[in-house]
Amino acid sequence: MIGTDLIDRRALPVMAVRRSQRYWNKVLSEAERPLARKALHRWAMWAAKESAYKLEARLDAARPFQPKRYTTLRLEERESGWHGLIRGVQGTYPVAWRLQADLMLALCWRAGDPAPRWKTSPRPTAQSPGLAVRSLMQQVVQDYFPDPHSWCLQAPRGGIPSVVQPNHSRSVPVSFSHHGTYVAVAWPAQLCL
Amino acid sequence: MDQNALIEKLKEVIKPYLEDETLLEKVDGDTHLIDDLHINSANLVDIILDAEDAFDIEIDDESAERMITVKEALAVISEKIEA
Repeated sequence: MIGTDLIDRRALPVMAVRRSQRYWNKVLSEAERPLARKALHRWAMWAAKESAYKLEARLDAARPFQPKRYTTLRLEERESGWHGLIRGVQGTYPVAWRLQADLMLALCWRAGDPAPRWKTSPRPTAQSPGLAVRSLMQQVVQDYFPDPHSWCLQAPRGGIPSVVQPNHSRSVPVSFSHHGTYVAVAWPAQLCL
Repeated sequence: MDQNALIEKLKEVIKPYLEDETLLEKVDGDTHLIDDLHINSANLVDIILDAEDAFDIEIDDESAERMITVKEALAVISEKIEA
C-alpha cells in the first residue's frame, strides 16, 4: 500500500499569500506545529497527510480527507532527502519527501515494506492532469512488462488506480498525483514480482 | 436565512475555487464538492475559512469533515448559525 502527493513549488508563493496562520491551524495539530521549522515544512506535512490519506483510502474509500486526522510525528532533513513518520487513522507509516528544483513529492508506505518508486514529469498544458498521470504510469509499466497485452491500467474516477495483469489475476495498486504543471506516479517496488 | 439564500451565499463562497464556474449552474443538494465540482482538498480548507467569514460562524474539525456534499455543507452551516 502506497500513497503519494505532489506539490509544484512554483505555486507556493501565490498559495502562501492566501494561507494565513488560521489556515494552518485548520491543517496542523498543535503537536505538529513545532515541527514546521520553515515554511516548506508546512507544505511537506500537508503533502504527507494527503499521501497517508491516499494510502488509507485503499482501505476505506468513503472516508473524506480531514487533515488533522493525520499527524506528522517526525520530519528530518537528511542528505538523501527528507524522512519522517506520520500517524494516520489506521496506522503509522514511514514518509519520505523528494525535493527537486520545482517539486516536492511526498511518498508514504506501509511500515515494513520497501519504499515505493516514483517518477515525475512536466504536463503539457493542453493535456488534462488525469490523462497526463495515466500516460506517465503507462511509460513506467512498459519498462516492467514490454508486452502491452499482458497488463492494463485501471484508474476509475474517484477510485484506486491499479496495474492489472489479467492472466495472473493480479492487481497492484499504484498512486497518482498532480499539481500545477507537473504530474507524479508512484508504484510499489514489487510491481514486477 | 432561508435555504435558497443559504445556497446562493454558499455558491459565492465556492466560486473562486472552481476551475469551471459553469459547474455552479448545476449545483444542487447532492453535488459532491470534490467529485462534482473538482475542488481540491487544499481549497476545501479555504472554503471552510471563507464560509466561517461569510456566515459569521466557526466550523470545528468534526463538522468540517461532514461537509462532503452541498446538502451536508448547508446542514453544518445552518446548525452553526442556529447555535
